[in-house]
Amino acid sequence: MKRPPLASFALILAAACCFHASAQTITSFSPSSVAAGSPTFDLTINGQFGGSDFPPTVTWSNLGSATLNVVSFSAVQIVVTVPANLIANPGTAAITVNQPFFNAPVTANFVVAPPQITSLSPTSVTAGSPAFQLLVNGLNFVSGTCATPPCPPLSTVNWNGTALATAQVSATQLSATVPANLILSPGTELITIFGPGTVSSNAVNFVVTYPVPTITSISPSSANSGGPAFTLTVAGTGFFSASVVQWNGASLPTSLVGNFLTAAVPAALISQPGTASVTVLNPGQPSSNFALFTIVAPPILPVISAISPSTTVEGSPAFTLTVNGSGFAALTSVLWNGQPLATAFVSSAQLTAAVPASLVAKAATAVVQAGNPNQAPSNGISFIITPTPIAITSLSPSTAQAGGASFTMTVTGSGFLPGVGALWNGSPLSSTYVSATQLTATVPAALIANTGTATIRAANPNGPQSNGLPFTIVLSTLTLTSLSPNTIAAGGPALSLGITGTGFQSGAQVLWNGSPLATTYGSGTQLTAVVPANLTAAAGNASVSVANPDAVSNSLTFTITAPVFSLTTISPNSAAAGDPAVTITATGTGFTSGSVVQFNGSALPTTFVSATQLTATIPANLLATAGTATVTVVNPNAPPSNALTFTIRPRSVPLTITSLSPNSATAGSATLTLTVNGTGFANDAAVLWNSTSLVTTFVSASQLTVAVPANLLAQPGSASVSVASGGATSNTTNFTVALPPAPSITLTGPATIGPAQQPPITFTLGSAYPLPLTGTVTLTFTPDALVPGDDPAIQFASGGRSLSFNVAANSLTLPALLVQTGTVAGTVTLTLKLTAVGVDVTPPGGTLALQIPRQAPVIRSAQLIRSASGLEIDITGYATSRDVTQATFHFTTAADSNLQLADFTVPLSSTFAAWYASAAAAPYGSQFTYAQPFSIQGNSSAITSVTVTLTNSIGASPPATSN
Amino acid sequence: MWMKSSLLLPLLAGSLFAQFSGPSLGLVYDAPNQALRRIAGLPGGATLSDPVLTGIAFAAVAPDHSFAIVSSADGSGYQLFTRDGLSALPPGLTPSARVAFSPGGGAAAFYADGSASLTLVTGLPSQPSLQAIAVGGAVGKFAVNDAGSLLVSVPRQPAGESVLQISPQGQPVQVLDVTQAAAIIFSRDGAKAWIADAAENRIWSLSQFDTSAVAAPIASDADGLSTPLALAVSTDARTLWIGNGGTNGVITFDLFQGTALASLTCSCKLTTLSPLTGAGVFRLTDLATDPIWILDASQPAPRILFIPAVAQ
Repeated sequence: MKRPPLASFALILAAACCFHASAQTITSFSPSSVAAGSPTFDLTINGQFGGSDFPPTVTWSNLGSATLNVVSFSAVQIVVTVPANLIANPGTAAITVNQPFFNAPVTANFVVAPPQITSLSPTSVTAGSPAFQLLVNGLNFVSGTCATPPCPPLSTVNWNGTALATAQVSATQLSATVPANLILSPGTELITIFGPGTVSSNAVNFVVTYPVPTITSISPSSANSGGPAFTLTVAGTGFFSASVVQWNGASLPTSLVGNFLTAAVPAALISQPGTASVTVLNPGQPSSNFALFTIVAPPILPVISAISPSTTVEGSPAFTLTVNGSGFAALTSVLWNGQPLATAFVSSAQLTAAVPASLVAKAATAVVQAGNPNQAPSNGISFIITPTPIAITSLSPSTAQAGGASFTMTVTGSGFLPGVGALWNGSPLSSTYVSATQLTATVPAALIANTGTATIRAANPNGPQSNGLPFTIVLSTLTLTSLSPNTIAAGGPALSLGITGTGFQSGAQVLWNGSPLATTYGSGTQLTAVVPANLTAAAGNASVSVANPDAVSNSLTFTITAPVFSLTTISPNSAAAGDPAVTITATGTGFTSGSVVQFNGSALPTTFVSATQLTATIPANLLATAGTATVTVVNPNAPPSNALTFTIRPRSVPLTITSLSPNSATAGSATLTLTVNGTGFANDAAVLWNSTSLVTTFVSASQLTVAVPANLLAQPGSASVSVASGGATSNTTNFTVALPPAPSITLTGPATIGPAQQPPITFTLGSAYPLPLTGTVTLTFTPDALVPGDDPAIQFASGGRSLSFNVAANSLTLPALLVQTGTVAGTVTLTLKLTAVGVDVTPPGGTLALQIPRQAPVIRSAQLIRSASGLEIDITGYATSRDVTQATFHFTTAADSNLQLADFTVPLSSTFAAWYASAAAAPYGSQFTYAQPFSIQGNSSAITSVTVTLTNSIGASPPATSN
Repeated sequence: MWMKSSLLLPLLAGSLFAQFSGPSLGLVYDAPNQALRRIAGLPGGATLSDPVLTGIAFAAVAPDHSFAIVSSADGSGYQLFTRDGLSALPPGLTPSARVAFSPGGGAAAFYADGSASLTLVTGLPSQPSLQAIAVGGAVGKFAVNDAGSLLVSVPRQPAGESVLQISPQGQPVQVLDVTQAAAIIFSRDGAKAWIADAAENRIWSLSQFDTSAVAAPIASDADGLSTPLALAVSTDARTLWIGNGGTNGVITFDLFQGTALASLTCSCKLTTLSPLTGAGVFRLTDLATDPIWILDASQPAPRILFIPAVAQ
């Protein structure tokens, strides 16, 4: 406020002298009150005062006292300065104005107000939350900013009396940072405003609430029904001492232990099988998620009381074991030394099990139990496997002559097991197990060198010995004195040998080098034996002795002398040139099994018939040419025999092929029968197919038949056929193998197809082809675009433009033709080529043309991209003609905005022509992504959508809109 | 009534400034050739480019195909491949891991079979950082959203699998039990998820992750499910595509109506539903020696198409 100018002063003075003074009044203060603790401020006092010529006196009382400095004054307004010390504390001050021109001072009350909280935001927070900003709303906050300390004192938010970092937003709002450590636990906190100085506001409650707890696991998570009470441990988050664990919604006595809750679960809650829901409840909050607690029925453990049988003898066969007891179930197994047996459930009190023979092969004790899967087995009962009793009843022989040779003794008895052995006076003999009732043992000669008696027993492996039987060694009386004859020439027929001696018994056998001969008993001094021819085939000596049932005699020598060796005849002794192989019979003496017939000094395949007869085969090739040959016989390690002559007569009819029937076939044919007509065929004749012999049937001297296998007819071409017989070969005649006619084929598809398509193509064989086929389908493309160009997208699914394949013989299976048409107008041509064995057999109709027409542009997508300077519309699509002449854009705005220009047409002929002619466009056929930018004057966000249409020489695309 | 009115004047920046390029369906890993290739062109007219990166033993392509995580064949570790080239990822990633990207590509989870933890990579692709997430056992399928929250399937005793929800700072919370989790995906905003149970022929939806997750079965064999093994969802979470391993087909499922809309069968062995660029285009098979098969559901009539194999 300014003092009035002098002219006005004079006018006011005149007025003052002309009017009666009226009473002073204070009508208001500005500000009407002040916050306690505020700094020094100017107070405007409005009212009716004496005038403006004489300064008033303004005093402050009741809340301290002072005369206030008058800054300005007028008849209706006085401005005074109130120092900070007067308003440090809240209260009501009396302000008195005294104007000298007036007699009566005027007084009014002025309020110094304390801070007051009216609301908090937020009013609560969940315990454990991170630090947050608390907004305190109210009145009379002392606020301000201070860039440079020392700063004036300001109002501070207190948390239970502790100052928080406070930002003074305004006189009615403060913002304080509440650190996370102050809200770790639930509770009610007091919020006050403190300062400046000692002033303090009212207190307002702030609530730290419990969080909703979360269970992550419980331990244990299951128990057996009927079990005892237990302590349940719950892990999770949001647990406090007030948290309560609930069991199916009912609270359990709960303790907080560390970060876990423990709850006492009484036995009554798990008396029955089932499930229970475990949750945690915090005061004032919904329940946590639940964890499932499972109460399972306790397992019934099996008990066995008896087994039947409870014993068996080792080596017994498999048997069925019956186990009686209790607690058996369908899955209960009988255990044999802990290992499960194949078990049949009979009842809860009985099981049966198959005990294999292998488990009772040896004497032992086994433990039988019953067990359920994943449970401890039952009690055990012993099963006894006793050793096998062993006994012997007879020996054969039971006597031997002293000084006799080693012999085999047969022991008969019972209880023999594999590995059983005979004992000779307690010492084991080399023995062989024959059966449970018989064994054989070798008694060496040394054990019967002298007369006497031995005790024979049998013993199983690791088992007891049997009873003993005596074996008697008696004085020998058996003697061999002469042989008749005692010599013979080698190679003779079977021989009857007379034996003379003493002590021969009925059943005596003549032994030839220890091997028995067929023997005829004549008397105690005479035997006759047959010596087979093979035993006298070669010169040498043989030892002859006689074996009675209980003894073996001395031996005598039989001498086989070298034979007289000669060839007397051969039959036949001639053949015709060209004849097949001939078998001849050679007769003479002194032949042995090693004798070989020779033909002009060459050995022939020879068969020994007897010492006087051999047979041998003269192969056809040795009979090819007329003439004579010498035939001899050669014995091992001896000079050849005398020689005889074999005559080969001249051939009578020439070997010739005159015709073949048939003389051709189709490649891939099955085996066929070929008839060969001609002359001079013999029964050894063989048809040659490209010089390889085939299996030939001789029909007559003028006809042969032969089976030509399919593999020789697989390939087209020509084969030379001839006949070989008797070492000669006929003329050759050609047989032709021709290709079968080309197979029919279907290759069809749509004549016209749109761009970016993968059309169905029908590709089938009309009939199976007897030969393997090799095929190739080739794609070619003839563009019809205004800007011509290839389209690399025209490919088979397998990649590229060539598809090779193979078709097995007699198969109809062809590959699927999956073709991509691309996006460029033109003609896609599929061309098939089929070959068989390298020969082109492509049938008619092996070409298919697909026409891709020129079309109006196609927009696949339009995308509106906003930027600070405007918009960009990205348009992706294709135009098969490879031309686009223009684009039209229509802009749409929000309802509260207007467009100065809503439609644009952009000429694009040259732009697109340049794109399609560029190398960058080459991989894409007619595809493009065309980005058109626009700058916007105004708020571009008001443009809500853009609709674009592309046009080319064919027409316009459907519009595409982007938001 | 007072109404705000603004005047807009679009100005053509000029056809001279129009930009042209070739369309692309994104990147694909060529395992036989240890290379990364670009798929050039649109569905029905696409081809495989020459390799854009070679000598890599592994590649996982981000959902928007703007970058890929690759590992070099020489064992030098994982790298980021962007249009600017290769850059190293922070060390600590286990080799031979399976990778799942978040729908927006900002996060990825790595899991090496046999490990008891996953590695969460956030801040992709510009500021990647790693965080180990303990799981405590073998992990089957897993998915991550852009906030870094994980859904993980783990074996459940004595049989089946449990699906756990794991937030980066939180404890695993069991949200669902299934017999065989074959696929898990998040919605684009990460607020919902879907799980395919291949053994039960069932699709589950999960929601309300911020409180107690709510699981609900939404599709079963009555909807044509047959060993579902792959899932994909539209950006607006309105359409779910279900890859059937039993029929090698794809079911289009309307999540608003709760009904199957259509089914297409692929002449291929369907193994995945991996998004390609462009809404509604998915790769159904990996790149080997055969053609790649894709689902093009971007147009009114969905089609299953091939991308020709690389010519040998």
